[in-house]
Amino acid sequence: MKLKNILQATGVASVLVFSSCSKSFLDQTPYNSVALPVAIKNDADLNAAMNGVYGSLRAVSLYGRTLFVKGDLMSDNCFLTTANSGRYLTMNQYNMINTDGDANGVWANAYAAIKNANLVINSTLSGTDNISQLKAEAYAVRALMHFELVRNFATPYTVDPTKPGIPIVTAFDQNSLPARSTVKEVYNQIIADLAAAAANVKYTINNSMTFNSTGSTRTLNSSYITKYAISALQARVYQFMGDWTNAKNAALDVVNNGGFTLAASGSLGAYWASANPRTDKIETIFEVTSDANNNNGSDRLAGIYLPAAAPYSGAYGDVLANASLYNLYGATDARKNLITVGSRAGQVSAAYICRKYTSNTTDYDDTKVLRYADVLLILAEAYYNLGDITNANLTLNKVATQRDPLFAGWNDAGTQVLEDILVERRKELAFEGSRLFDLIRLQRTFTKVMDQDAPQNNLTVTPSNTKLLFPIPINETNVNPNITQNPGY
Amino acid sequence: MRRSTMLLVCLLMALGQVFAQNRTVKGTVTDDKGVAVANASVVVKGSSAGTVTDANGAFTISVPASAKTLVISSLNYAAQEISLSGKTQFTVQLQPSSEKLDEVVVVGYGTTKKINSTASVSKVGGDKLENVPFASLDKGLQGKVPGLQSSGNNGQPGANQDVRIRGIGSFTASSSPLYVVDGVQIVSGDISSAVQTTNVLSTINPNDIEDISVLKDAAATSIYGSRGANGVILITTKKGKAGKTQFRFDTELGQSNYANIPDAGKPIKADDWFNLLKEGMVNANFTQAQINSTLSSYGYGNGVDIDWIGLTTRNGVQQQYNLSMSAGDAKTQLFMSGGYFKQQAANIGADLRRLSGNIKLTHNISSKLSVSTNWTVGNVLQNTPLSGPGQFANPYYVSLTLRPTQNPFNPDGSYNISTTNNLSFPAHYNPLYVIANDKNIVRNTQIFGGGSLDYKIIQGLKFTSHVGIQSNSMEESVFNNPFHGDGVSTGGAGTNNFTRIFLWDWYNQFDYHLDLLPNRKLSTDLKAGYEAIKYNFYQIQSTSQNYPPTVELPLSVNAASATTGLATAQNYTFASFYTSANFSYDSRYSLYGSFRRDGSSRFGANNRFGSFWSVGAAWNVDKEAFMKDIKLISQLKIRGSYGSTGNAGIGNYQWRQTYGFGANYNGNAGGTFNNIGNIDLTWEKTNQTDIGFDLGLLKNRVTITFDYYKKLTDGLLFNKPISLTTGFGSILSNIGKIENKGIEIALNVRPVEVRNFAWDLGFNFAHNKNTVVSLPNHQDIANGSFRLTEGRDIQSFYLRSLAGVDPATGAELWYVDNTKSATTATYASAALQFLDKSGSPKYFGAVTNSFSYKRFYASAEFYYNYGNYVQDLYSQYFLSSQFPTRGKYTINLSRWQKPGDITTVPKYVYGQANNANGERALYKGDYIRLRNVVLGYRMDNKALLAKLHLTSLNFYVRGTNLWTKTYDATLPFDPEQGVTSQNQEGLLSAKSVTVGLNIGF
Repeated sequence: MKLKNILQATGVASVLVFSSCSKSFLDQTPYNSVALPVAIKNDADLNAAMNGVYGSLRAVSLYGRTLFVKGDLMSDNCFLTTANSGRYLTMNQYNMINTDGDANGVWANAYAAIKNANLVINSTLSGTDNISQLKAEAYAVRALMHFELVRNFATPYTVDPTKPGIPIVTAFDQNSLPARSTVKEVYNQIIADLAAAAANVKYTINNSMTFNSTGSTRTLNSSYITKYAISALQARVYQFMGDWTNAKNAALDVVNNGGFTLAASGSLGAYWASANPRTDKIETIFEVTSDANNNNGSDRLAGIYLPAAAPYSGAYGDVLANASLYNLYGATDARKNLITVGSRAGQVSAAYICRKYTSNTTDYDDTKVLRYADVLLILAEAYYNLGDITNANLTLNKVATQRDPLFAGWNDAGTQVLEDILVERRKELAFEGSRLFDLIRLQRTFTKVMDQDAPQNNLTVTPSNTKLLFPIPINETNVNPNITQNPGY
Repeated sequence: MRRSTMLLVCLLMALGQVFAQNRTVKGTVTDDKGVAVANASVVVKGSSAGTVTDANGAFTISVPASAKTLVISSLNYAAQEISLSGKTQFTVQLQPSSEKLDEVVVVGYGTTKKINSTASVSKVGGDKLENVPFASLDKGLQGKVPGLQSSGNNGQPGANQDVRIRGIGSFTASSSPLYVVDGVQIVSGDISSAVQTTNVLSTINPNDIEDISVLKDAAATSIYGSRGANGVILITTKKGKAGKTQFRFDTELGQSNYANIPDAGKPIKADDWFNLLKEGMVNANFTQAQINSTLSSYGYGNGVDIDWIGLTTRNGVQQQYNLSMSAGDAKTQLFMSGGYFKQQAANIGADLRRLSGNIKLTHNISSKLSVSTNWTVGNVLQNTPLSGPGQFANPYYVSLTLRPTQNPFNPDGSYNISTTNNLSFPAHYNPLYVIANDKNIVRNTQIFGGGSLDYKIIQGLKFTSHVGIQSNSMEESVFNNPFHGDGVSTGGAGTNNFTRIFLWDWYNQFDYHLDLLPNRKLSTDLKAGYEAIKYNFYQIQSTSQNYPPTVELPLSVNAASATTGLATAQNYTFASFYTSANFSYDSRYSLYGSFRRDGSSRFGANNRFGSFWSVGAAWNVDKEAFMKDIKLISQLKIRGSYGSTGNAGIGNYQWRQTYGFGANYNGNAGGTFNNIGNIDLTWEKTNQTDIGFDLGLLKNRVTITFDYYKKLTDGLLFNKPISLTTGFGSILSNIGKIENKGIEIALNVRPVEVRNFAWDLGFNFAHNKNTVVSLPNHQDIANGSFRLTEGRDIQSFYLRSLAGVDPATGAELWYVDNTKSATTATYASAALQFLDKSGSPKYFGAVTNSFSYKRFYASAEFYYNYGNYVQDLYSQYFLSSQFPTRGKYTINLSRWQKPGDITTVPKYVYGQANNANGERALYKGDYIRLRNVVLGYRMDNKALLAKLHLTSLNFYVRGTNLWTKTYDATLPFDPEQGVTSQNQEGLLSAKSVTVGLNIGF
C-alpha cells in the first residue's frame, strides 16, 4: 500500500511538473530586460526610454567624440600630432576606405539612436503633456541623427539636393534593406520631424515634469531637448539648406523668446570647465551629459586633445590646433585662453592644445550640441544672405564683442561680411565639429596642415575631394544590395 | 495517521522477517591457476544483493533462505553459477573468458551489456584517475580516451581545462562536452567572475569516482538530445559493496616544480641583456652619449643579475590523504569517504586546497523496492594570482618581462617597491611584493547529491525516479594593495563577488527487459522517461577602493568608497521525453534505436522543441558458427550508428527580443531596445555516422577498438550581418555548417606473459579533420589570429607570412602576398594570408607500457600530440627589439649581427617595431610528454599483512610530466596551450615526484 502511495505521489507530481506547467516551465525570462512589446506602459517608462535615447547619443562615435573631432580634424583647424595613438589617422590623411572604422561607427551608432528614438515616437501612449513632451524630444533626436548622417555621408544640400542622401528610418524592421533617399527627401523628413517636435513640445529649460504613473519628477535642463533646442536645430538645418528666411525665423525665435545669454567674457573659461547640465540658460541650449557612472572613460572628448601627462591628465593628446587658428584670436579675446601653448614630443614648434574640454575623471565633460552663440551666428549669416547687412553686423558683434570686450566690432560691407561671419564662426565654434561643414556647404578650398614643422607637407583640399564624405560602410553595402556607395570609395 | 502507523509496523515486521531468515555463506574465488581473484562479484541470482571478494579472493555473504544460486563473475572471466543447496562453504574456480559476456558499461540513463552495445563508448576506470596530482579529473582524462582532447594552458591548480571530443563542433556556442554526475546534467567549466580561472570539476575528489564513460557516437549521445553534440562524459561515484566492511587509506605526497621551459625561451642573464641593449642602440644610430646614459640608467656594471624565473617559482607541496569505507549486506550498502588534497603551483602564490566528502547509501526495502541517496561535497580554497596575458601581477608573465637588472630587494633585505628609476619597478611590479600582499582568493563549496527510488513493478519492468542537485556557492575575494601594483592608483582596490548556482535534475523512467523467442534468444531492453532540469544562477558583485594603509584588511568593509554593487541572475530550463530500445538476438545481432524530444527555455518560441534520434547496429561475428575454427580471432564485433544530436550551449536569453537598461542618463535609468532576438533561434544540429569494430586476437591478448566517424553540424550559430540601418549589426542565426571526421584506435597488447612477469602495452590514437563547410553569405569571418573560411579548418591561422632574415642586411622579410613571389621588409606591407597551419592537432594519443614482476610493477605513459602550431601572442615583448628594455628570450642571442649571418632572428634594432608577430610567432606544437611514470610494490605476504591487521598494502613512487620532448628548437614555451594553441602566458604547468601508499583494512 505504501509503495502504491509513493508511486501515486510521484506520478501526480511528475504530471504536475511536466505536463500542466511545461509551458511556463520553459518560459524563463531575463532579470535585466523585459520583452520589448510590453516595455513601455506609461509616461515614466517612456521617460526611461527617452533617457536611453540620450544615453545612445553619448557613444564615442557620436557626440561622445567622433562627430566633434571630425569637423575640426578634417578642416583647417586641427591636425594629428606625429606621436599619436593611431586614432583618426585616416580622417587626418583623407584616405578613408570603405572599411573605415570611424565611418562605420557613426553610421551604426546614429541608426542605433534612431532605433531608440523610434521606440519612443512609435509608442502607442498619448494624451498627456508628459508623453507629448517626450515624443517631441524623440522627434528632435531622430531629426538630429538624420541630419548628422546626411551631412557626413551625402552631398551638401547647397550643392545638389537630388543626389543620394541616406536611408530614412522611421520604424524598426529587421528585414529592411533600404535604399538611399535623396538629400532633399532626407531634409524634408528632418523638417517634418522638427515640425512634429515643435508641435508636441511642452516645456523649456527649468520647467519640471511630474510623471502621472510614479509621481517622480524630471527637471528639464540643458541636457534635454526643450522648446528652443528645437528652434535652434531648425535654424541649423535651414542654414545647411540655404533657406535663410526660415533660418532667420527659427533663430529669432530662440533669440527673442528663449531667454538665453552668452557667458561673460571673464567667465568663459569657467563655463567650459563646468561639467554639469545647466538651468541658467547661459550659452548651452542642448548638450549630451556624462557623469561619474556613465561616461566614455579615456575615450572622452577631452582625452583626444589632452595628453595623459601632467598638467593635462587627459588620455591620448592626439589632436593639436593649427597656429593659424590660434593666431586668429586677439590678445584680449577670452577664447584665446581656451588654447594652451605647450610642447609635444616629435614637434619642434609650439603645440597649440585645446583646453575647451577639461579632463575631469569624477564628472566627465558634457559635450555641447547646440549653443546660443551658434544660433546668433546663424542669424547673422541669415541676415547677410537676406541682404540685411546692418542686422548681420549687429548680431555678429553680439558674439564678437562679448568674447573680446576690447574689440571694436566688425563693420564691413558686401561679401566681406560673410567672410567675417565665417572667421567668427571658426573662432567661436572651434573644436565643436563645425568648421568642416562650413567649408563644404560653401564649397571652399582650404589648406590642411599635416605637420606643423613641415609646411611643405600641407595639403590643399578642394571641394571635389571625395574623402570629405564618409564611405557607406562595407558592413552595410555587403548586406544591403539597394544601397549605393559614395564616389571615390 | 493510523494507516501510516500500521504501514510502518508492517514494514518493520517484513524487515524483521527478512533478517530472521538470512544465513551466511562463505567462499574463496580463484582463477584457473589457483591464484586468488580479488574484486570478483558475488551476487544472489535474481536479486541485487551481493558482495565482492577481498584481496585473498574470499567472500562472505548473507543470503535469504529462498536464495538458490550464487552468480560469481569477474572481468575477463566467464561468469559461474553455483548452487547453494545445503552448503555454506565454497571454492570457486573461474575460467578465463574471451567473451566478457557480462561486462556492463554505463550509458545514458542506465547501463548496458557491452556485448549488446552498438555505441562507441570509452570507459575509464576510477583506478586510472585516483591519487594523481591533478586537481580536477578532466586533467586526468588526458591521453586516456582516444578522440578526447584535454589540454590546459594554465598551471594554476584548479584551472579550467579545455576538453573536446571528436573535434571542435561550434564557433559561437560551447564546444565543451556535457558532464553528467550520477545522473545530473551539471554545469561545468569556469564559473568565476573576479579571479582568473576556476573549474567546477576541481571540487570533485577523483578518488570518489567509480568510473567514467565517455560517450562519443550518436547511438551513445543522442539520448541526451540537444546537449549531446559535443560528446557526453558520465561520471559515476563509488558505492558500497556487500560483505566485510572494508577501509581504504590512500596518500600521496611529494613536490612539484615547473615542467618545461625550452632553452629558447629561458630569460637571458644581465651580461647578455646589456650586450643586446648596446647593440640595439648602436644599430638604431644612438650617439655614444645616449648609449652611455641609457646603459647607466639600467645599472650597467653594478653586478645585479636576477633570475626571475627562479624567484617566481618554487618546489610546490603536493599532498593528498583519502580515507574511505565500504560496508553493507544484502539489503543495505554504504560508501563513505573523506579526502584532503593540497597542491601548490610551480609559480609562487598559486595553490589549491580541497576538502571533500562522499556518502552513498543504497537500501533494498523489499525485493521490489529500493532507494538510494548520494552526496558528494567538495570545498575548495584556491589562491589564484592573475595569470592572464600581459597582466603586471601575473608572476609568470613578469618573470619574462622584468629585466635581470631590476633588484627585488633593498640592501636591508626588504622588498624594493620603488618606482622612481629603471633599477626599481617603474612600469612592471615587483612580483614578490605583489604576490605576498595582494589577495585573489576563491572559496567554493559544491554539493552534488540526490536520491532515487527503484521499483520493480513486475518481472522485467522497473520504474526509477531520480532527483539530483548541483549546489555551488562561490566567494571570490580580490584585493590589490594600496602600496605597489594594480591597486596604487585607487588607493587599494577590492572585488568581492558571491555566486550561487542551484540546479536540479529530475527524471522518471521505466525500464523493461524481456527475453523472447525459444531459449530466450531475443533479448529486449526498452526504456522511456521524462526529465526536467532547472538552473538558477545568482551573483552579487561589488568593487571598492581607497583602503586603509595596511595590507591586513582586504575585505571591502574596510574601503572608503564602494564603486560597484550589483546583483544579477539567470535561469534556464529543459524538459524532455526520451526513449530507447535495444534488441539482441542470440548475442550475435544487436539493433538499437533512441529518440528524445527536448524543450528548452534557451530556444526561440518558434523552435522550442526538437527531436533527436539515433539507430545503431552491431554484429558479434565471433559468435557465428563459421568463426569457431578461427582460433586467432577471439572476439570480433562490427558496429555502426547514425543519428542526431544538438548543441544547446547558447546564451540563456539570446532568442528574446528585449528592452534592457543600462543606457543611463543624468543618473536616471535609461532603457533601450537592446537585443534584436531571433524567435527562430535554436540548437545547432549534428548528424553523426560512426563505424567501428572491436577485435580480440589470441584469446584477447591483443585487443583493438577502431572507430571512423563523420559529424556534420548544421544550423551553426553565427551573427548574421544585417543592415545597420535597423540599429543592429547582426542577428544571431542558425546558418553555418562545419564537419569533423576522423578515426580513433585503441590497442592493448600483452606481448609477454611468463610465470612472474607480464608486459602490457596500451596505445591510443586519434585523428580529426575539421572543415568549415558553410558560412553566412559565404564570407570569411575574422577570428583574432584565425580566420574562418569555407573549406578550411576552423583554427586556420591567418597571418603575415615570414620569408626569413635577409643574410645581407639582417632585416626580417615578409611575403608581400600569397603568391610568395616578392618580399618586403615592411611588416605592414605584407598581406595577411592562410599559412596552412592550424591550431588543432592532426594526431594525438598516448602510449602506455606496464610491467609487473612478482610483486613489483611499473608503468610509463607517454602522451603525444602532433600537427598543430602554437602561437605566442605576447612575443613582441620578449622576442623583438620593439621593447628593448624588457627581459628577453635566450633565442635573441642568435640574432643577425653581420652580413652573411644565416639565422631566424633578425637584426636587433632598439625600438624597431612589429617584427615578432605574424608567422614568426608560430611554432610547431608537436610534443611527447612522459605524463605518468610509476614504480611500485604490492605486498601479498598474507601472514605479514595479517600481523599488520591489513588486507592490502601497496607502495609506489610516481613521476608526473617529468620529461617533455618538443620538435621546434625555436619554441620558447611549453607546447601544451589549450585547444586554441595560443600561449596566453598562463602559469607554468607542473611536473612532480610523489610517493604513495595505499592500505586496505
